[in-house]
Amino acid sequence: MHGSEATFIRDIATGLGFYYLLLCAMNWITAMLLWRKGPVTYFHIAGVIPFTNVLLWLLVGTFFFILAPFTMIGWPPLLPPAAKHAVNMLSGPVTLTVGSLIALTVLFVGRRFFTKPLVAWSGFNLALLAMGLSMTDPTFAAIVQKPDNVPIVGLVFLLAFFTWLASYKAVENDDRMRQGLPPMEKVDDEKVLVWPDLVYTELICMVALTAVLLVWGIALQAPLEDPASSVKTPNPSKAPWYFLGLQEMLVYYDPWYAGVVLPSVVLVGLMAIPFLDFNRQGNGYYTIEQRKFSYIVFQIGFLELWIVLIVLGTFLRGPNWNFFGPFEPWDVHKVLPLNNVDLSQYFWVEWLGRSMPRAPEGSTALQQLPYILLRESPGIIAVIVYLVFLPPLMAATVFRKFFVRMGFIRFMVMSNLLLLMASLPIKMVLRWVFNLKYIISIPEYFLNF
Amino acid sequence: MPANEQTWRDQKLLHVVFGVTSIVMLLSTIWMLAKDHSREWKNYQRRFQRLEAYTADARLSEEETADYYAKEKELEHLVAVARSSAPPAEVVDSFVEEAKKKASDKNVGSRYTYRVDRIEKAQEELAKARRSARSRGGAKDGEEGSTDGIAESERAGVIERRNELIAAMQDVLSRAKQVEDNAQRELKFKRAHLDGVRSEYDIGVNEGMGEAQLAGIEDRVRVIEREINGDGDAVYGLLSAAQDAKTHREKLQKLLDRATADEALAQKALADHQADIKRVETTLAERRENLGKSFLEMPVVDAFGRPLKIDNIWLPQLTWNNNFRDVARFDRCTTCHQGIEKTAPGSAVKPGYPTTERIELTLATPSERPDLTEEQKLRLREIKGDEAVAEQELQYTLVQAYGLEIAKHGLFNAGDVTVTVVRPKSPAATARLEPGDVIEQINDVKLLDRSRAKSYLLDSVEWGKPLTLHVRRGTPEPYSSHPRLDLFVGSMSPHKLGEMGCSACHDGQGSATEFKWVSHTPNTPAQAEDWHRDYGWFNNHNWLFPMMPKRFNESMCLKCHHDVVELEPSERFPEPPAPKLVEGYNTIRQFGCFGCHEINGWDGPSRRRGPDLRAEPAYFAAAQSILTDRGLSDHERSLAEEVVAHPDRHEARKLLAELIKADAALVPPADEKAPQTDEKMGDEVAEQKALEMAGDAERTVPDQARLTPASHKLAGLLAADEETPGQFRKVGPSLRYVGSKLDLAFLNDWIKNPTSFRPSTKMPRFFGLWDHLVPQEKVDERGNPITDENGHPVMVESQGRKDAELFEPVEIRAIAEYLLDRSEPFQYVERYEGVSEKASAERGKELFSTRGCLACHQHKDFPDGKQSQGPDLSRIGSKLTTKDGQRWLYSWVREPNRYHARTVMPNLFLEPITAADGDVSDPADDITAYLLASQDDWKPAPVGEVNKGALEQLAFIYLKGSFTERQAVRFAKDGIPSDLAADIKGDEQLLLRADGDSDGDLAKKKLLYVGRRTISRLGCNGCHDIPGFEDAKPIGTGLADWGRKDTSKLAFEMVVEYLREHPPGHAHAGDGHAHEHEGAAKEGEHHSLDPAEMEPNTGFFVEALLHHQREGFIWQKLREPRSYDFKKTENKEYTDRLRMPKFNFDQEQIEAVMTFVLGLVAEPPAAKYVYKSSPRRKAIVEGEQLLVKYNCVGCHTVKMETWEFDYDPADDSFANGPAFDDYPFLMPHFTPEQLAASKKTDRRGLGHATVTGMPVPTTEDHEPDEPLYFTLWEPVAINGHPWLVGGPEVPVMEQNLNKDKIRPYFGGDFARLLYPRAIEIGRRDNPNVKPSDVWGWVPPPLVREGQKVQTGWLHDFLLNPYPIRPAALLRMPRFNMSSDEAEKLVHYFAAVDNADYPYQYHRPGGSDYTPAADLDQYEMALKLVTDNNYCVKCHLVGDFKPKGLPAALAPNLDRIYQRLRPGYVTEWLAHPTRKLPYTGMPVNFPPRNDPNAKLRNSLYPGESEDALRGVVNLLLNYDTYMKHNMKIKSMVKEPPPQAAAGESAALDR
Repeated sequence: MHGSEATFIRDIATGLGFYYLLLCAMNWITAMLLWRKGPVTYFHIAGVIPFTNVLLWLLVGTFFFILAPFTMIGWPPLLPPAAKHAVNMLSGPVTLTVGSLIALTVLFVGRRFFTKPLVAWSGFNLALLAMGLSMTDPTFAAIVQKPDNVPIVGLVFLLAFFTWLASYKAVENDDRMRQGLPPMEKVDDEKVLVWPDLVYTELICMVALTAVLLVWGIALQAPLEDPASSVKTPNPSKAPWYFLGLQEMLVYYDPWYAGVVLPSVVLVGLMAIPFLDFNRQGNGYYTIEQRKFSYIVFQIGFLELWIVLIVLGTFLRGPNWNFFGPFEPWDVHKVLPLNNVDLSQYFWVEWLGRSMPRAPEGSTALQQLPYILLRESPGIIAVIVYLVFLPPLMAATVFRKFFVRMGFIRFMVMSNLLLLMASLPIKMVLRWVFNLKYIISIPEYFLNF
Repeated sequence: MPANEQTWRDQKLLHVVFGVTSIVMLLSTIWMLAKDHSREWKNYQRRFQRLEAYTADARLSEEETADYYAKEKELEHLVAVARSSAPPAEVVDSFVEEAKKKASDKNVGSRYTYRVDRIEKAQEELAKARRSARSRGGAKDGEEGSTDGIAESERAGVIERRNELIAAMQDVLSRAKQVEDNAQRELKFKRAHLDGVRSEYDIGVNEGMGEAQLAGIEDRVRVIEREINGDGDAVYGLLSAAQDAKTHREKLQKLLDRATADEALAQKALADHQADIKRVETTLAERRENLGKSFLEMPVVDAFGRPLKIDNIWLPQLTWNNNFRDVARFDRCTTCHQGIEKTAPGSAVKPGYPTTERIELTLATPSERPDLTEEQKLRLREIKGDEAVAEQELQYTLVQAYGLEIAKHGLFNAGDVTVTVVRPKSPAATARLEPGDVIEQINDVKLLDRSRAKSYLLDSVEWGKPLTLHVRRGTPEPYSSHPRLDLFVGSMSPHKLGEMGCSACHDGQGSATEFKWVSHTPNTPAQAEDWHRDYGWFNNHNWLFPMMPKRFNESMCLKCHHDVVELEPSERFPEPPAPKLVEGYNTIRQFGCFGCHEINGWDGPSRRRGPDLRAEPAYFAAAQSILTDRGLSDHERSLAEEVVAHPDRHEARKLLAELIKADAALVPPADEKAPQTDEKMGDEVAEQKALEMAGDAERTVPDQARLTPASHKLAGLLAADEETPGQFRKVGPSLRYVGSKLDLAFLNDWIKNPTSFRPSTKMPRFFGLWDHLVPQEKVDERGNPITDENGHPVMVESQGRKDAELFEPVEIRAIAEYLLDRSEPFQYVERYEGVSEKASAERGKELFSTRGCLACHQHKDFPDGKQSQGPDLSRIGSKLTTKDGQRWLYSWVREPNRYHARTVMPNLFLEPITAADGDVSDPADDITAYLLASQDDWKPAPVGEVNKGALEQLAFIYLKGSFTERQAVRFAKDGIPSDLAADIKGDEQLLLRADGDSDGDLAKKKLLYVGRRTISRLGCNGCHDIPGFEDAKPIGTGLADWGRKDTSKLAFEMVVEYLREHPPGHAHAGDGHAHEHEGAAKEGEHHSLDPAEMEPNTGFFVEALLHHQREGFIWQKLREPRSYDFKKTENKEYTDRLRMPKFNFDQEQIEAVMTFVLGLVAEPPAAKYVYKSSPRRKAIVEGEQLLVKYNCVGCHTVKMETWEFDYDPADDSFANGPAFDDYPFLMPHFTPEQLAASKKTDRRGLGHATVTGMPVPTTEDHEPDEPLYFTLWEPVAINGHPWLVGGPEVPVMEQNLNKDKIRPYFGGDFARLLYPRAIEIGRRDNPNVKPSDVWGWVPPPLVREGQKVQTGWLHDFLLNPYPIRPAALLRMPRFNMSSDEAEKLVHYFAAVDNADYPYQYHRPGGSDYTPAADLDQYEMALKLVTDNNYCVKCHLVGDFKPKGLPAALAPNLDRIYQRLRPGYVTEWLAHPTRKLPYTGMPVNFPPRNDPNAKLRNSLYPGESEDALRGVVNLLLNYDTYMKHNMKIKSMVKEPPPQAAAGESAALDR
């Protein structure tokens, strides 16, 4: 892409112009709908200038309307290099995961504020604007526009929308219930007819979906890649997008664990939920207050440990599975040193200052075993402590109520599942902070943990 | 809750939503169908069909001229005449007779119910009708042009009568046929019956049927057989009946055919005449758009028999590599490139739709605006509609004025002014306008539409003044035809479309049918831009085989043409098929790229994968090295010498290797622990060793090895037997004896920068390539940049630059020292004795110019000499300033092979010359003197002190590789202690300290060590023979499959950044002196690197570089090889830096080399596609390689010049052609077709001819309107007349000469250079010398050499040439070629001239046995030969030498029988100039009117031809005849009778 940035801007200008026009229309329509159907909210900017939400979206729409022609003639607003640099720096795996965790916490804590339509719509507008600005960067555009990735971008927005929608309803219900009112879903629970209320709607959805698939099929061609070659594999080699979370785990875990054990545990765990769940509240309506534990665990597990990892894997992992900021060109020659060390090595060599236990030359596999176990004993002990001693401790302390209500077996299952889930972020943190490679490392049997 | 009618959602809204989504889905479905249906290629196909219809239309209107119709009418009339003529009476009579005869046959007559009477009647009727018609028509005879006197009004009636007659005959015939068929059927049935009965019999035998029953069956068989075969007169057999009927019917048929023969003939003539137009009309009908076609093209319908479809070419054997397997090719390129194989009408190779070009033509105008003819005016009146009249009037006027018509609409743009018709011999034809041309501009006016054309062609014209037309000719892509249909695609070409497809040669994605997916590759950034805009083209990195850009089209030829030279122009393809590729190949060959980068064309011993360029095995070098071993026995020494001279003689080499190996198996001499003979440790050591050797010799312990380990090691190299050894000699001179030639100062300077001494040198530059070593920002301890007071960063020299400045001088010096130290002693050539003259530079200069030096070398005194086989010698004197150097030069000039065994410089036979006054001079000495005087004030840079610190540091860096760091530091400082000697291997031995080494010795050792390592590192041995490097391997990357090298494996490093700072095309880029010019460009200054803004050629490569493509990589690598080290040097060991030197290439050479290297893909296709030459072609190809290798073509012309020109057939010179009076056997054979073809004229009425030979040099007073003259070297037919060699010269008007098509001669530059000089020299002795005679004094052209000489003689002559022509100024030198090579050259000449080879000499009229009658004939012939008026006037014969100047003498006749082929001698004597146009030899035996007839008859009775044959026979039996005359018996003294009876008997015989 060197030397052809002008060409690039020229190529993308028209499309981007239409994109801004679309944003303009979106805001103007919103303003109109609010004006016609309400609710119109009144507030003051800086405490003095009276304002309404209708006016606000009208102005925002106008802002996009002004942007559009400039963009179309080849002068789109650009993201300043400093901003790009900052984003690149901030979107490293550490800051991304930790940052998204903090963001989720903030969103959770301030959910009453963030679920307000005005705020959410503002956020949506800002996100789309950021998207538009970023599209002027060739690298970003190349990644986002890749036909494979376009739907994923759409999915990210859809996910944000549904998360908002659920939270919005939950917050509303929680408010109502605090006032002693039934949740919205209970208010309106009349039965409806299969025809036309269900089947007709389904038919319409089917037709609409077929149309969308056709348009999608015509507009976004399947990407052409290198011919398959056994001597030259694609770089980066990426799994299908929905497995990219798993692939990301491979960075931190041995394949047997990240690829076999963890996914199975995830499936088994999901199946176990109904049997573990003792909270009878919150059935059939949205709520957060009544199911705080389940809500938090699920959101962390899904959003943080699944979605964020997929986004990371799709957009930010480049050649050699190196990490690249969204505005950083994917240079094959980037080399990131990976000097990771096993726990046993830390223990024996760094802390005790002696060599690692090693079986004498020529000993049989059976003879080697004690040495291996001795060598890995710190890790084994740590794992045992984590999985065996921690649950009772939890039962005795923070999860006391759970233990009481769930009984021993259910609690042990739940706590182990929880701990296994937590092992992923823990391992990630250990890797980032200590360059820890494996807690237990038995390469002799391809058994690393 | 009870159900009610209330729904959850508003039904109306749902309906609306449903309606809208349904419409959206319908639309998207339609969109899908449309998208699927509207394919890019369909448009191209439709437009191409329009193009074809348009062209056919134009062709039709051009062919449908008045002439055409007149002719058609005439032919139609002839048909009518034939159809109204009476069939020959005798034929009809025979027919009737035959019919009657058959009908009355007693056996079968009953079957033939002929109505013969009808024939007779009809015949009578016809005769009557004709008579009456003729009597009526007779009155108007001649009026209607009727030729048979029949009135046209009556003709129909006559024809009817005749038809009746024919019908009656037909009727008889059909009856005959019917009878025949019946008879055949009957026979067939009967035979089937017979088979049935026979099988019954067989079954009966098997089943044990009774004899009686069997006999019954036998009887039945016999009855049937009798029915079939008949029984004499009694029974007329079915077989006879059938055969008879057939014969009868055939007879009738023949007679009927004869009766209607004239009609058939006339019909055929008419059909032939109409054929062309019929064909065009058919095309037109097929191509015109119509409703039906449009319907079939509609979506869905097009599934059933569509008119537009994708063209597939399936190539199952021409696979492409899909990584996992080879996949058959499906080429669909022709889906869009529809016109690719269309040829022009009447030609098999001329493109039918040539590629677009723009030309300028001059159109003459008539003196005034012409009027329409009466006929045209009449016709105009018939046309209805004002518009149509105006249109027709315009066309008529245009035809009247210029002879052209203009289409109503252009084809590709409606406004194009397109010429549709050009009338023959009209002004338009004379201006060379062609139908289909688009006139874009008239004079200065651009034409936007036809109305403007009309006004500038007819209305506002200055009549009488010519118009300048800017014309666009040809067809745009993708419709145009392949430009080289003779070579590719065409049905007559070697690469037929159906067999080869497209993508095998062009690469690209052949199966794609959309522009952008085909992987077209633009040739320039501008084109890329256009394509991107017009077709959405993009650089598809994912397709591994993008199409070759136009500039590298030729690369892919290498896939199948592994020998490359076969791509030189040939007889069949005189236009160079792949000039750029061949140029690249030659450049690589000359510059010796293969010295470092092996190009191994073999993948295993028998699998060829591509071109093979490898250095030959270093047998000779090993042998030379072994020769320095003092322990060699005499036998070994002679073997080694033989290997040096003839490394191709395997027996000697292998024997030598075996002897040495046997020696190696013995114990090493006891007192030599670690022998170091490949090193010289100063004179003392050598002396000491010599003493030891002497001692050894005395002791002669048999089981001790005599030879040194170095020799032993080389035995392995000598014994090595490669299956397919390399073929190329190293390109640089040998450095084995370099000390005998050069001193330290010159070597030092030369290694540093070869172009300093010789700007044109082929030696690349290794040192001082510092452009990439740019200054860096100065930083403080924390790594922050330091800035000056203005805030600019402070720049300092980079470490890379500092290292280069520090180490390079040391390395240069070390190489020079090493070479000089290792140089072996050289035996200079001794001067001749008896030379009386001192060396004279003046004589030397003349000798230099005449003795052939300029055939290979350049010299500033002779600026016309342009050959570059050898180095430019303009300054050689400044190089060889030492005494040794001067002695060396003399040796070199005399005997080049003594110094360099494998040099291609020949031995020129510079023997002492005795002048007329008896002074003897040594030409070699003179030339040496001249060369030594050729100097200017160039002086090598003074050699400075060696920087000890740097030397130590370098030694340390190298030592680090083998020792620990601490050891390395110590050894680098103090050398390696001698007690470690046993453990030290390899180059480090050089650093071993001997006891008592002084500091100087140690420093020298370090220099030698660093020198040797540097030579290894830089690969000097790739081009030069260096002692101690005999078995070294090439250092570079192999290039055999570089054209497909994975680009991720190319180290682009920071080269783009480098180019940003040093943009290509910038003043200092790549000149290697960037830092010496102050202010050329500021360092660190960044430029935008936008390929679109660059010069297109540069832009292309920069673009490729930006995209990390191979093209970009190699381009920059050849331009600035070290630029890939930009900024990398800071973090690299000095010795790890890039090593590729910079060659003295210009942009064209770089592209040529790239063309070759990019073609090295190592993807040999299936064997059937790999080029396999016919033996003849192979001989030519191999020969051409040698012609170039030894630069035979420097002196000799091997191909004559070819001119194409037009002429006016009415011109005096061409109307009748020259007259010839020759023996019949001399006349060339032109077929009637050839003669007829030579009469063809073009639209302008001009003929066209192609002649081969030599143009006569024009004199200074040549007027432009005088013709140029051309001497023919090959007979040619012009305007239906043969023109012979040695006849009159062909006059060619300059304006008629097609200058673009001149094909220059090949070879003989030196002969042409020498020619004027030779005239000058000749005039010194004889002021009246004829210029044409002088051609005989210079190196002769070798045209027709193969027909001329005998192969055996030529072979021996090439290996050991002797002087033939006394008049020649120089003689053929002796080249250092092998017998094998000589044989290849011999075969080459034979093959080129289509002569026989291998050739068996067949002596005419004789064998070893010579009849007495022949001897008498020889006797008489000898009288002719020795008569002063005949041969001996000029020719030497045996010991006889005619008087006169040497320049007037001709070759000795005593060796003719060895040298020439009999056929040639006869033709030569009959008419010498027919063979050699410039020869001074007269026609001695003219076929008629011999002025010497009386004299000749007195010597040799009979006709001229008898005498001619007699002389030929004598010359060709000279040896037998002389043997006969030689009486040995008389010379032998009578021996004592008992002693040697047997011996003398043997002698007697």
